[in-house]
Amino acid sequence: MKFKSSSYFLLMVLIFAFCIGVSALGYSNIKDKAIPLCISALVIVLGLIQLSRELMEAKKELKEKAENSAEGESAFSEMKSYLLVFAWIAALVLSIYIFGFLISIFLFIAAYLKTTGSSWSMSIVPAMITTAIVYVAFIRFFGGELFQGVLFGGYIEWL
Amino acid sequence: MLESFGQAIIQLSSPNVAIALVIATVGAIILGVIPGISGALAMILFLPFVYGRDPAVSMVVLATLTAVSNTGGAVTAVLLGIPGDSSNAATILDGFPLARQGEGARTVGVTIFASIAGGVLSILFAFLMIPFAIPLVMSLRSPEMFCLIIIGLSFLAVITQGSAIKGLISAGLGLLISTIGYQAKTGVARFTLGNDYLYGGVEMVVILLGILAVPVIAELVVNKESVAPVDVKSIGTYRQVLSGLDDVMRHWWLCIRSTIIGYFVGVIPGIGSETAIWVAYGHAKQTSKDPGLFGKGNMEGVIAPEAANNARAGGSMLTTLLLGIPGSSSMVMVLAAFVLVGIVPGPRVLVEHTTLCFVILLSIVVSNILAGVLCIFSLPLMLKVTQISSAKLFAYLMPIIMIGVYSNNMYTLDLLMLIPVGALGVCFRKFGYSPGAIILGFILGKLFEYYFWQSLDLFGGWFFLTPICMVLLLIVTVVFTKDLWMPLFKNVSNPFARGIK
Repeated sequence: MKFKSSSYFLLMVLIFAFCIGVSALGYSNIKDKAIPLCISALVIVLGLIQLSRELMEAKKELKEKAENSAEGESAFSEMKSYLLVFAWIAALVLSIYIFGFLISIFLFIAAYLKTTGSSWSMSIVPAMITTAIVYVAFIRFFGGELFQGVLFGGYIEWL
Repeated sequence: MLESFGQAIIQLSSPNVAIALVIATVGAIILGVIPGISGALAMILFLPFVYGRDPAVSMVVLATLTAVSNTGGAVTAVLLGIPGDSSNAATILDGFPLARQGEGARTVGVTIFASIAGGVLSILFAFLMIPFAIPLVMSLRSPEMFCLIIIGLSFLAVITQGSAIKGLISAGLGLLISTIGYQAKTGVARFTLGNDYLYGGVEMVVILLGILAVPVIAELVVNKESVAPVDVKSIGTYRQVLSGLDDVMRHWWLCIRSTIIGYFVGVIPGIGSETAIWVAYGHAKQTSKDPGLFGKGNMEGVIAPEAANNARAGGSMLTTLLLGIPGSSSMVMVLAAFVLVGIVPGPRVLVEHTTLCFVILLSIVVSNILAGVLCIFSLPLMLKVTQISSAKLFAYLMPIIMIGVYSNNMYTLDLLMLIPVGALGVCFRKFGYSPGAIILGFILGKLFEYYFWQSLDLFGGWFFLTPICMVLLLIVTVVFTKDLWMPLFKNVSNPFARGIK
């Protein structure tokens, strides 16, 4: 039996609901456990109905996909593109943790624009302008505080 | 009431609120013309900055973003054949052919003035309904509030998505996530896995941006959307744009009827703007003296959807303020903003914060007029905005999202949390689950639990047997059985089914 990608997602939802339901049983007070238990039970029932529907549809679609292998390839390349997008997001988060917001915003914009085909000047200048706007608007104008990073903590105050 | 109205006018004319309204209008127009970027996304990006700010400023910005983002999208729909979002789709059918016949400027004028008329008239209707609605709102107690929350969830879960089961799973998931952290009645920390980070529950801003904003931006990058293929060099003269007012005046009765359609569709929670524009379009064709021209370039086919589109915002805002049920999926953000500025969403909002509600409604009127004027004078610039590439959008918007997530709580773990929540959001979009329903479930989850236990404590196990509760539960039943009765109305809501295309 082959699962569709949406069925794997549904399975994860079911596992989450199941974990919440089982954990809820551990609370002694009815007010702590009743609602999570009822809702998780409801989600599990609905999830199982949906899963059974998807499994029934899966056979049909698998046949069609076998006939059209290009469709499967495009789905794979789409997944790869999403993974790439999330890799960029993860890199931005990591960079913010290490270097702080301002440096990371500059690095992120410059690096992303460069890798997507912009020239060096068209990557660095917009990155500098955006970083300056964030600094002036968010820190100076709104008086907000942005994380300075574990590496350069205190650098922003010096500025 | 009149005193609150006067105070609302004073608040709206204060420098802070007025400047915020102008900036939000400009922002809504710019984001509205970019295909794939809707007013809802603009609202999500702004939401993290609401926390701790003046409620009037915050709510005015949100109301403006939701009210006028369609206006900019309509202009690109006419001139380029690219709708800013799905709510401008009907405008293309007649607007784009008219532009190709050399009537671009006039048609743009028609979309702008019809949008202004729809937006302003719908707020007038909203003000007229408030005196009748307040006594009803005052009679609501905890059992009715509990039933209202169920109605809000079921409308958004069942009606806005193709699959009712997926919608309900989404709402259930939102409710489950909301149970993480302290229980409002007993104070017991639940499902925290002993982690301090989860004691206060999952941060709302992380859920909002992760489920709604990250997937939209990721999808733009993956699909390489948002680049307008056509470069329009000459649009026409301002005089031609202003001549659109004559067309709207000539079809004033159609404009009012379409406004009423849009307003009442907006009042019904979860129906969505698409229904409003298509019903109005269908109605315009049915009542037109020249129905054969529809789809080839008929001004009535532009006026009707545009008036209905902007009128819908007024209707859905009224439902949100009166009942605490989001009139549309973008109104979920208004409810979230209420929570962030410290106002408990629900029917009491209108009674306890009457001035703020009037400020919100009045800001829709002002922003609609302002957006119209700005659209007329910034047409060439708007067309340039559509040329922005998805790579640039991603590069500029991701840092804003990160700042938004961090600034709300000053906690770097929130940034890390954004990645799995964003992935969840992508799965939701890819597999046809309802992002609006999970957000609403999450926002109303704590209230859902609170009102349930309060009703049980005060009124016992049969608390739902009050007349209002019975009516509300009957509505829920009607919603859940929609598959049985909806086909009867299908021909009314979908003009394509009747061969309009």
